[in-house]
Amino acid sequence: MAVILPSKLTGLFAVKTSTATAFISVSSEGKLEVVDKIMHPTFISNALSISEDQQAFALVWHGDNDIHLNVKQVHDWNSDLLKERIKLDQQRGLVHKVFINNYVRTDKSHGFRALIVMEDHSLLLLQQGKVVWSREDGLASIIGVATSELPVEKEGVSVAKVELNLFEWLKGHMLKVKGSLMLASAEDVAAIQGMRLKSSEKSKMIRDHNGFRKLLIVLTKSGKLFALHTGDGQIVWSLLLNSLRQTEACENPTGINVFQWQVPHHHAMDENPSVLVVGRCGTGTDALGIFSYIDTYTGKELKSFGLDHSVAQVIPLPLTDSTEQLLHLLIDANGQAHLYPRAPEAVSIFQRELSNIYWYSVEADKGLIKGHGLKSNCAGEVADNYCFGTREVWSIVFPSESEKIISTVTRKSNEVVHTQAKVIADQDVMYKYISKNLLFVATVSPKASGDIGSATPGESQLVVYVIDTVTGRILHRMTHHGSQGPVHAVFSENWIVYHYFNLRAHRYEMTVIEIYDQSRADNKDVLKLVLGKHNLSSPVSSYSRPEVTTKSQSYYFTHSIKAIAVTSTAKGITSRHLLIGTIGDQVLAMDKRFFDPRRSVNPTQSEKEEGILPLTDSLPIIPQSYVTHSLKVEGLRGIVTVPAKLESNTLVFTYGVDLFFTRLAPSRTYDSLTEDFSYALLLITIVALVVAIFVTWVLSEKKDLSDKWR
Amino acid sequence: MDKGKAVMGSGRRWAVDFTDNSTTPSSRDIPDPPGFYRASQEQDDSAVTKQKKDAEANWKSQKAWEVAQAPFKNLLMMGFMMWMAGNTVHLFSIGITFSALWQPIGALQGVGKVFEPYKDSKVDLLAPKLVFIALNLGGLALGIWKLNTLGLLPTHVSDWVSSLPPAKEVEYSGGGMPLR
Repeated sequence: MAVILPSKLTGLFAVKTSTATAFISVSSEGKLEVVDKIMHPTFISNALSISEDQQAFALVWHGDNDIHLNVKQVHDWNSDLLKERIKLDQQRGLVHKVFINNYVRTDKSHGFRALIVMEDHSLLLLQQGKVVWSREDGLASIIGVATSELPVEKEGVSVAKVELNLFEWLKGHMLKVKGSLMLASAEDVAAIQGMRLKSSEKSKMIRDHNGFRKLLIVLTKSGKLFALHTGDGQIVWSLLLNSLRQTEACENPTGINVFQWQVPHHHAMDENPSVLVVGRCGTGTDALGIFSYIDTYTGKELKSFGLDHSVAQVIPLPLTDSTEQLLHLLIDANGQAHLYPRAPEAVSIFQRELSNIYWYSVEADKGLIKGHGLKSNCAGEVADNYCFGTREVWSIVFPSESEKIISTVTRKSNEVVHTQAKVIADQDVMYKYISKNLLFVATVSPKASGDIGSATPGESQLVVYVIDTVTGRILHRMTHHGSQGPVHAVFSENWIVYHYFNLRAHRYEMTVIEIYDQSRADNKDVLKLVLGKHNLSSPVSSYSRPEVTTKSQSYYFTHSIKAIAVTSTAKGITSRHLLIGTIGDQVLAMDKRFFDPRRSVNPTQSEKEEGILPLTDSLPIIPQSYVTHSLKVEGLRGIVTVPAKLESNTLVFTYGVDLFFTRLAPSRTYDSLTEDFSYALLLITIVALVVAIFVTWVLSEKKDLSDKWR
Repeated sequence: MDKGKAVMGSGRRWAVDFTDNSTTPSSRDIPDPPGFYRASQEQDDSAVTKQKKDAEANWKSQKAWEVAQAPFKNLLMMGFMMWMAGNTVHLFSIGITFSALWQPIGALQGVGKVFEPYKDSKVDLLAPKLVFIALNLGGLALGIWKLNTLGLLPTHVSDWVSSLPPAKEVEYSGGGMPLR
């Protein structure tokens, strides 16, 4: 099949076939003539006029891992203005686009430089046969983030770079002294900076005691996987996944997401963690899936294979097998569930929990949500141990003339909640309804599902539901008249905060819903609790239909937001901040205490002691609470929070066109000493006190003795 | 006039005879005045000492009762000081409460020493000791009640429940919108 390549050259065009690319010139009489045929995949650039009547263009093709760059004149094929062959240092895929530019050398001849865009969305500048600079612009289109721990420090093998000899150390020291005395030249300053960066704590490649140093594995739209170090953002390794590159089998492969696959805890010294990248062969929902396992320490692809079914959903299960691989369930477009890893041990672990695993699907275009259970085998001709059929358990149909699903959100599966009881004023207790099987759904009337202002307040309404996904029970429903989307929501612990537009008040609003378990509220007998005769710790099932109450409150908010997330910590003790990505591409951290449905205009004394803020109609935006300070995360699209090992800190990663990473302490660092704590003073004080005790003891004994002798 | 008669010519002008008649009954020649009964000198020492012991015992028992009732005043004073300390948890209120708790405990430990000077075979020390112990226990109860009003005792539901971890859920469900 032949394809004409798009070109802006006058009188010359290229036709690409599966084997070669042919260049055909068009003469003024309309005659076509084949000028040249190149056997490799070729790309042509724009036309650049280098003098009044001459035009040049660049021709780039690949051959054995090198890039061949030719600059020719448009009307004269056989004159080569430039012919270069450039070696690439890493696998970047094929060239996608070429742009050329020229400069005039000292001897009045033309020199050319070319900017090429590669398949992995990186930019390279080629000049005089070398790559002058390269930019990993694939990082501007991140579609999935996973985290991985760094290696544990092994005894005897020090990963940090040690000064090898005294001379180097002396030189380094002299440079530092020169720098502090302001005698350093510009190169010296750069050398000092380089030395400081190399030996700095935060960019070491081993695990941190506080859990601040991690690897962020990001998957970009071009199918390239990067590992970013959280200390200084350097790219530790990058891998262009061959399974996601265009081949004959897969015309248009796309990556879906990256998941943690093997997270070794007990075998942390022997095994490397790995991640799983799920992709699909095309853009339709029934395209076959692609799996790829990558080792996170070395960045090498361990295994990759194509699946024989499509991928509609990927559900990570809370089960692990003996090699500490996380079990995943893939639902295909026909509703069959497939278990990975395909191992008999995984199947036996899964069979034990089969009856307690459910999955739900949200079909926004049809306006229905269905919940399914799992059957023990597939309905198919081929007997497959790892395939499980599904049966429908419940379904909720939304009336399509008045409600259209626009947003769903659920709790993060790895979120840790510290306690199930919330202590309120007067030492009273409210029990939180903490269930991971809840789904928050926001629907708007179909007329108002477009941009803001496409419907009048009278005909638009926003209805939110909280649905239990195991039984299909609607726990709570609330209607906002005269409001519409877009709805951004976050669900954490027992509360949901969502943001929408109020057409009647012409302002954005944020509402909080908190869910409390009413069925446990009878546990008020102190004696029974002391003796342990309560059922608060026994496992709970959604089929017991516990009675729930909800409290909600709405506030005005001035900004439009792009993304919203909540901080997460290792044990869930630290209070939570909501991270709001505003339309101005900045991230604002708001304390959860602003979103407390128990806020009232005149709080009582005990409520004030509890820390409830008085109710105001709008949320205050404190300029100091912008996490991004004066920077902007251009084109902000998502915010991801990762818990650190130290309880008071959490790591925040924001991506869009720019990347931003920071470490937050929502309740300030209450569990570690300040950096300038003077241990010396403490030691001196202790020693002085011990000496003083001893001296005064001896004196008092002497005095007693002399008294007795009187 | 013959006794005190001055004898002329000798050095001694006056001489008075100081014979004691009270102790020697044999040389009694002056009759006793009416209504006077000589105390029987033949009574033995045990009787005297018995009297003395009785007096001592009475005095001791009286003193023991006084000591037994001393904590009551202490109680009132500590009660007043705790009321002054207020309901909030501050250094002063904690200090007063703990001293109110420590004093009865210290006194209870030294019950024997307190009653030692009054130890006597005739005096029943059990009753005063019991009263002493009871009053000190009352002081201790007052301290504990003050501790409770400060909120430091786990008597509320929230003290036992607020550290319970979330209950495990039997079912697990996942899914969402189909991936695009």
